[in-house]
Amino acid sequence: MNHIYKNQIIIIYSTFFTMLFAFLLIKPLYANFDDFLNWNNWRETFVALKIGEVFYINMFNSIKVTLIGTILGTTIATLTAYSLAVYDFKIKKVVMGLLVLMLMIPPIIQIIPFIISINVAKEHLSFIATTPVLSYLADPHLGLVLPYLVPAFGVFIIKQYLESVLNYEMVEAARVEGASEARIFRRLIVPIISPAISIVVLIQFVAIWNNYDFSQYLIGESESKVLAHAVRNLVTDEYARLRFEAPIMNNFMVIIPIAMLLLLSNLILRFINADLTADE
Amino acid sequence: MNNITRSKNNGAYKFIAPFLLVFFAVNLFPYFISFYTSLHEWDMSYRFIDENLTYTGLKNYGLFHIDKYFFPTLLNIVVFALCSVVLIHCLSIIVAKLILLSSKKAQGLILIAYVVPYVVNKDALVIGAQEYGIGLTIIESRWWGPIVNGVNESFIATYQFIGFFTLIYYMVLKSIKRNLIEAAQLEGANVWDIFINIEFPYLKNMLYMMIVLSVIMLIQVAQGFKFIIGNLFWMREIDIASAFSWVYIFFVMALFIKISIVRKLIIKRKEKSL
Repeated sequence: MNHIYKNQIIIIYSTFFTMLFAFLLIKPLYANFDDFLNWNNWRETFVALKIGEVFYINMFNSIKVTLIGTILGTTIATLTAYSLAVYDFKIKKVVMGLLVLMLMIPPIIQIIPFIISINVAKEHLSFIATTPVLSYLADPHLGLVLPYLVPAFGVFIIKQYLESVLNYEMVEAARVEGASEARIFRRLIVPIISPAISIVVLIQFVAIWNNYDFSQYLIGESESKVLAHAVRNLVTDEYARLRFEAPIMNNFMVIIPIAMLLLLSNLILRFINADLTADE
Repeated sequence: MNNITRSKNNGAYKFIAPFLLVFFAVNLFPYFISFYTSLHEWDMSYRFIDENLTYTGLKNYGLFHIDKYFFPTLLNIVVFALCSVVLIHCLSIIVAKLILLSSKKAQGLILIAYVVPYVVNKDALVIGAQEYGIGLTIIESRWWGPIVNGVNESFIATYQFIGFFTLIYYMVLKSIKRNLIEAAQLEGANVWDIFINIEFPYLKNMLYMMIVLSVIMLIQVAQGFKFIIGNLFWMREIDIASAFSWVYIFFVMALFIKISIVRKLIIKRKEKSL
């Protein structure tokens, strides 16, 4: 009897929580609920959007920045966490100290130093933009990816998980069999720590996808701005909110990370259910 | 696994090289340039290195001349952080405990439902909230305005971050040994007794660290903080802005050093009492 009572509390509470969320999302779509249910309204809005409009360009920019940042950031975090968990080397304590330092300083405080150094780079490395291959480095979106390349929190998550899950004798056995370090990492380690990697992918993805500060300061109001920046303009600018594609921008902004969460949910649940203190 | 055999192989440097490269180029180098800037006068109107920047010493660190809204904004950030920290940690511990009490099949689904607001862009929520009239009270009074607005902002921040911390507290609560709790139940302890005497002491070890983490996360989303940085940027006061960044970094470093000293002292005291 007691159990049923507890279940009811949590189910009512979480229903309220989700309903509140749903209302907050649906409300800006249309003025009243009848408009929302009217299929013609939806069709008209989608038909009016044409490929090549600014909305699609912003969307493409966002996807590009987020994909590159997530893949590179997660890779670097995984490599670093693996080397910290499995090897003993001289500068190990230094690296740990640097990671803690990074954890302390939030990315928003990086903006001003970053703007200055980008300015300096523009002055002194201007040949990059004209050299054929290097010109990719002059991409305006490079500045949005760089600050997210070392996710310190992610390194700690993966390291903690790896230390609790990995059997070090397995690594030794693989070495005796003649496997190279890179092969051990690829074939043995990555499959084991995939739940922890999924969490880091999610954190990275959300952080980059929702960030508009770097776009505001480094790119400004131009076609290269990202979707989060465009959605931010809806909040601050009342006239921007009257644009007919505003609700679609808003909901697209929301739907992609939720889809990501649901895609990774199986792995995330495996991470949650793992006992991280089991081997202590 | 107490006797871990870690190999003393130099292969480690192969794996750590990308991190070190990116860290020094992207994360550390800009700070040195900004420290240099904070000691000089520079408004981005002329080239950084070719011209001779005028050395001003610590003048930029006097922060008082930013504008008349600097201290009200600081008050706004403090109120926002305090309110949100109290709300987030109280609620997320309660929710984590309640989720743990619910049936095992539902737990994963409920947790995922709670994480959704963390994943979602806050601006998308703010537009909806404004339609309902939440968070619209903007009071123009110089000192009461920041306080009321800080409390208002803290509700949205709580809604956003509660899932993330629920997840962490849930994992901690789950790692407590089952036989401890079962023994207490045999002795006749109810849910409340178990929570106060067994589970909360476990959480207390982590609570301080989690509070610091949440403060860092909150400052990142604090509108007041972005207001200060943005104002300085649009006014082209880059030198004062970098001085402000460094003041913030010193402040956080001092906080961390204090934490580590206090922790060491506590450990020493425990060893002495044993």
